[in-house]
Amino acid sequence: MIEVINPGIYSSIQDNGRFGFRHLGVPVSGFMDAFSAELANKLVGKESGSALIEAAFTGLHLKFHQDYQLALCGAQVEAYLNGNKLSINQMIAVSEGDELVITKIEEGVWSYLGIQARVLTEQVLGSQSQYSSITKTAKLKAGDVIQTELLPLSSSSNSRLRITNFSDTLNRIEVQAGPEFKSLPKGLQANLSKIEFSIDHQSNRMAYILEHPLWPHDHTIVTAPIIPGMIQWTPEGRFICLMRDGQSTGGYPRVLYIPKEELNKLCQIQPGKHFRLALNL
Amino acid sequence: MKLDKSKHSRSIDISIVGEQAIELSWPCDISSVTFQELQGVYHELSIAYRDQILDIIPSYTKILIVFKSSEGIHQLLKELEVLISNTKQHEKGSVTKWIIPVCYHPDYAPDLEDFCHGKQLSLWDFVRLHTSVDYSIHFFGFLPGFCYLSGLDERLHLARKPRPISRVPKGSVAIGGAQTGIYPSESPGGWHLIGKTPISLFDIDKDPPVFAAIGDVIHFESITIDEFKRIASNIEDYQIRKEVVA
Repeated sequence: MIEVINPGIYSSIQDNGRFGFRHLGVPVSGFMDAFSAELANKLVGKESGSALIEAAFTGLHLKFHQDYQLALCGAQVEAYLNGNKLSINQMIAVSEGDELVITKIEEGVWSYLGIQARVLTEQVLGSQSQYSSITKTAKLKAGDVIQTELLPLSSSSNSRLRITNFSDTLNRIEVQAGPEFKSLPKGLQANLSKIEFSIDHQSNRMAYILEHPLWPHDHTIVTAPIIPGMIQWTPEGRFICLMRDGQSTGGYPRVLYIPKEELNKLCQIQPGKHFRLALNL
Repeated sequence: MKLDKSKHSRSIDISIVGEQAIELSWPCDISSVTFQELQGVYHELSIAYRDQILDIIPSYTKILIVFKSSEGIHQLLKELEVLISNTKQHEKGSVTKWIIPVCYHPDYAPDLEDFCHGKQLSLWDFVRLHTSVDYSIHFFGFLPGFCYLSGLDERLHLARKPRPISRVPKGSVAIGGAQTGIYPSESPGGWHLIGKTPISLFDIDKDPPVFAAIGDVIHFESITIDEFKRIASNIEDYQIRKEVVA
């Protein structure tokens, strides 16, 4: 089992998501950065989509009560195992009693700890992803104990995967036109790529609030379906990008859409850092 | 990726959204004809493409179908064009009507007095207007189990609060614009709180977690504060009343 000494800024159990219940208003949830999460799963030889620990920024502190094979992927963090600096993006072996701490973050937001064991947290509506009002607890808290069942060492575990460093790709996010793209002023449609954006500090697993010059408007739409990656345009003129815990319907024009791979990048952009949106028509 | 668009004979727009979703879009009015037609297509799609669909999200005038894979999405687009042109209006068969107990006592309805005052309505008139309608469930969204209803009497329409409050209690019955609804869990919200129900709209231990289905009807019934407390203290045994209406 794994003991949560400190969950840090925000940690939760996530898998690839909760499907088939969005018509009842249940968010899809799941990994924010699916690319890094799947990398962590792959490194420890787990099936894609398997549940693991997702942590935002720093502060996560875990104690292992048995031996595990782990892989820490995602954000470029400074992490320590019993005080010794830990390498990210590769398989690591920990022993009973070892403690892991994420202390510093250089680039990115979300870290993923793949575990070479089955994570035995509750499965609700087909998913282990934590979400308030669906799972009993919305996130990990100090004192939580995560039960696991060790898996036989898989021959497919691969500690020599090629890792691309995402830090130099976080300044440019490709976007597509959303269903209500045409509501945007013509000038904005044409000049979108020239605008400097950043992520607001209040962003979370539900939505990323973008910071930019505001373009107030009075376009209204009848409440419509929304999916992660859709950028809604609020009346005050702000862009809000729907993330994994976002609601399934919304009432603002859905002006842009960020494709999945690009959304995996967007979620790793730290608040305050600048980036541009490249429109792919 | 470009949005493929083609005009359907009954003016239903159909287009690819993102990598693996298709959106069907009716002209923007929340008429009962649109509702019936959309219901027909929703039910037909849910069955015909059950194995390929990851999620199907209906709303007032749109249905978004998220497929399991992006493969063959252009072929699916063509198939759906044919399917919707052949879908008959949803046969309005029997509909389940759920009777939801609501307490309109000021203890449970913090905004009701101001609401009535602004509308020059007596409390009695308000309750009569709010409980005399069969509200149709168009779809769920916003929160797990939150149903979007149509049918609110025009005399009860009132723009949302300029600023949402951070904690609307679970079970609050509210009015926002031309809509009325029930908060299935505690959440921030900008609607006017005009009552409260003791029953749970979303119960994760039940399968399905929502008792009502899209297309069903909700009817509010006024209860006293004593009845509210009695039901709330015995919620495990409470059976939500339902009727089958033609």
